[in-house]
Amino acid sequence: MTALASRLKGNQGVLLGFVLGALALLVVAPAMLSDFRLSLFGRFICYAIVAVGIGLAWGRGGMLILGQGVFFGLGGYVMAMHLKLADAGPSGVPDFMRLYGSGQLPIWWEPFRSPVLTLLGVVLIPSLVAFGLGAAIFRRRVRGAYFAILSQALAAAFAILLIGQVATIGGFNGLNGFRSFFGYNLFDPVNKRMLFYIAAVTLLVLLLIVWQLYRSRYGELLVAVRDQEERVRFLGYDPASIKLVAYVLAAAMAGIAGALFVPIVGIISPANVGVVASITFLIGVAIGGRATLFGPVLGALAVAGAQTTLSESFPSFWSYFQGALFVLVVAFLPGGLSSLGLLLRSQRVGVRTGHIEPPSPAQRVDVGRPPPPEPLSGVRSRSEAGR
Amino acid sequence: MFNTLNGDSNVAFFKEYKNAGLTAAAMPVVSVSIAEEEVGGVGVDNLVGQLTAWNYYQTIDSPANKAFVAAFKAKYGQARVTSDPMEAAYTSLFLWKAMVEKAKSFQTDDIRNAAAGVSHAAPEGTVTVNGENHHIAKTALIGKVAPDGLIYTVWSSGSPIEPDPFLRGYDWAKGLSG
Amino acid sequence: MQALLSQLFAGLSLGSVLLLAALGLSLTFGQMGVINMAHGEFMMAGAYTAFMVQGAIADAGISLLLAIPLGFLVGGVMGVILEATLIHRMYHRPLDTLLVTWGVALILQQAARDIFGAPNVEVRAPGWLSGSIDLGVTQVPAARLFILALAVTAVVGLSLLLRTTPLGRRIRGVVQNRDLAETVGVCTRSTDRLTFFIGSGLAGIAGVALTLLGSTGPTLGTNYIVDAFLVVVAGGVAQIKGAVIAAFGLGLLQATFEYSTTASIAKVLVFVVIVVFLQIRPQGIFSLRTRSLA
Repeated sequence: MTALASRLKGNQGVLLGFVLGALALLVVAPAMLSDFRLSLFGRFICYAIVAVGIGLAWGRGGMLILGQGVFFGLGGYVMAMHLKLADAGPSGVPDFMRLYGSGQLPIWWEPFRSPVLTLLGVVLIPSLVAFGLGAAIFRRRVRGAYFAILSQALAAAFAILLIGQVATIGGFNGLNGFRSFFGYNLFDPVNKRMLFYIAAVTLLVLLLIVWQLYRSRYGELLVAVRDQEERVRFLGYDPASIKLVAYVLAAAMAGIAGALFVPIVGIISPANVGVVASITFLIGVAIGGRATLFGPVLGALAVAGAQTTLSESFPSFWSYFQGALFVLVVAFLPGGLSSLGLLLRSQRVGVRTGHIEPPSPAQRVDVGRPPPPEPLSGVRSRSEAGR
Repeated sequence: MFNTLNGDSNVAFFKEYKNAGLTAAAMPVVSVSIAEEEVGGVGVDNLVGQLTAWNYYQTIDSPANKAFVAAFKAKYGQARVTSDPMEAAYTSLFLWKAMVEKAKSFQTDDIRNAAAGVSHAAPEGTVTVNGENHHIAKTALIGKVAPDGLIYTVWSSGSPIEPDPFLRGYDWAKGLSG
Repeated sequence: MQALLSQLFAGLSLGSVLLLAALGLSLTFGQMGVINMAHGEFMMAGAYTAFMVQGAIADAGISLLLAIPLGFLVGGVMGVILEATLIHRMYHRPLDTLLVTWGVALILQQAARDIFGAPNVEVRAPGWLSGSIDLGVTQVPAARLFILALAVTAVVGLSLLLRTTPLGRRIRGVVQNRDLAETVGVCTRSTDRLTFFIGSGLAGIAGVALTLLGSTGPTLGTNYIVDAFLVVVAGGVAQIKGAVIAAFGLGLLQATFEYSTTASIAKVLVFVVIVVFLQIRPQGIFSLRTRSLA
């Protein structure tokens, strides 16, 4: 799809991509897949939505975000709290609280009785957390490796916090056992299919938004900040706010994905939000091509699909395979699979766009202020394709 | 001491317990998540004499269990041990098979409706599915960790206990169960 | 008073564990700029080395003392292999090394699972390290005291190496100005490789030490890697003393918060403190002054 899109120059290619994607998601998949597989595919789409946000912040913005699980979890837990309360009835208390806790509903659960506040919370809570953290971090010019490690530590801290709170948020077991979704019975296959459509449409809408962002002045600025932050600053822009927007958007998307994940999969637990879960979101993005529009989505779907297929038949092989993917793709093909075509084509004419400049000495020493991210192979041609 | 720790924390816990100079004779610990498999990881030295609560131990003296343990060791190695979670997983498959045979169907709803009263002669003894809540009636055991790393029964409920997952049969739990 | 002292020791002990885990990182990440997520798996390799040595030598005391240098060697050799095959290609892409070494970490973990089995294995503590030592006012576990001493020894050894030996001079030279060092005849390739060997070897020692406290299993490394990186970030790159102060500072802070709240809340509070601290000093406690902008 991406290769085709880059060949058809301009908007046509991207629009064709959207049409094909919509056909595949809304017509072909529901017709071909059993209820079980379709629900599994719905879960993959949730991961793909997270990947769209990572593509924006990491691929275009150069921020390696290792803590997307936090925002995924915030959205997911908000939704799960609402579903738990809805199942418990107007004045009821979720079952696990009676088992592990005092049986009293904590005050901060109350807002999520309201469906409207829940839907707002799914988007706003991850956004606000990202805004607070991002504003603090970017303004002080903490970036590069420091930013990556802090975002990862955030995921670790969040998972530990959740595990510690058995009585109020379900602890290690998380929240599960939902029976209905805004009044619709979750055991009904028709409603499960409906959830899949909701997730698929959400993915397409978010992709459209991100596409428009990439085409806008803001999209150009974001790439500029990634490639030469200091120059952008000298030109009079504020790189901190430019990065902040991308970070907050990525967090909001992860929150939405988490909220969709909960009714589709039926559980959210610390295992979905921690360090491992967060970094796993990245591999699909890296494989698909982090700076492309469709790459992260296709990569996330492919990796999730491969994980299910491979681990069904060879449980221990999957870990090796996933590890090897990280090593091979990131070390040898940083532009992802979608750069493969470009790489081959450019080699045929004798110009290696995949070649990366040797480092300058200052870049090697100064970790706290790391070098500007290296130009990704084929990024430029792809950003032109998205224009 | 009643120990509800799960997983790796048990290793650190029992090492510190020993470092603090405590022993099973002075302050016995009853654990609910230490099975034969975990004894090796925590260290037999750190666990000898401690008590555990389960429904199955490798040392259960019955023909069904002897066959189970022998088959397990033949497949996975003589050094490996069986444990309650393994036995439960093994038994659950037989229960499912019995339900499918009773229901004569693979449909989830049919199997669910056929579940009541299905019984199986498991390595731990006879288990029976409760029709009301789909938990199973099992025999409760308390065992003591021996120097050989295995756990030996020191107390048994004698017969399977009917499941009561919602604590209906306990006076102290009044008002907790919905 | 006694509660205060035992809390103080708990903090110091936690700090020494963090320090052992982070010391090698402060070399590889702090000095070389490589984000090695497989550092935790080198610790795991050190722990399994202790297990293997104990399989060969039954005496827990001798096997522990023997496992420390062997753990260093195992961790170091694994580090050199990683450096020579992957990392040396990517010095200019620090963020990507993070992902590549994460992949390596996944592979190493699964390899440990396949070789040693998924459950934890047992490493026995020698008799002289089980039990407590009475310090008059409070009792401290001997194993924790041993780890504290080991951490201090490692720091002193590393500082001496960096300050007094020709190799140490080369390492500092390369860190301060790579081009100039190369101009005056320092082989930066082999210096990089040796630095990586020492940093990874320290992870191996940390792994051996951790068998005295917790579980020895395939996920041993993942339990410590995030904390170890936080120590280096808070301590600031380029100087060992930053890691030392940060490790003990965070250890004491964690112990203090744990005393008044719970372990999980304490962890979150420590994270908040680090973020706030980086607001004041974005480069950590100590930083190398440079005039470069990027």
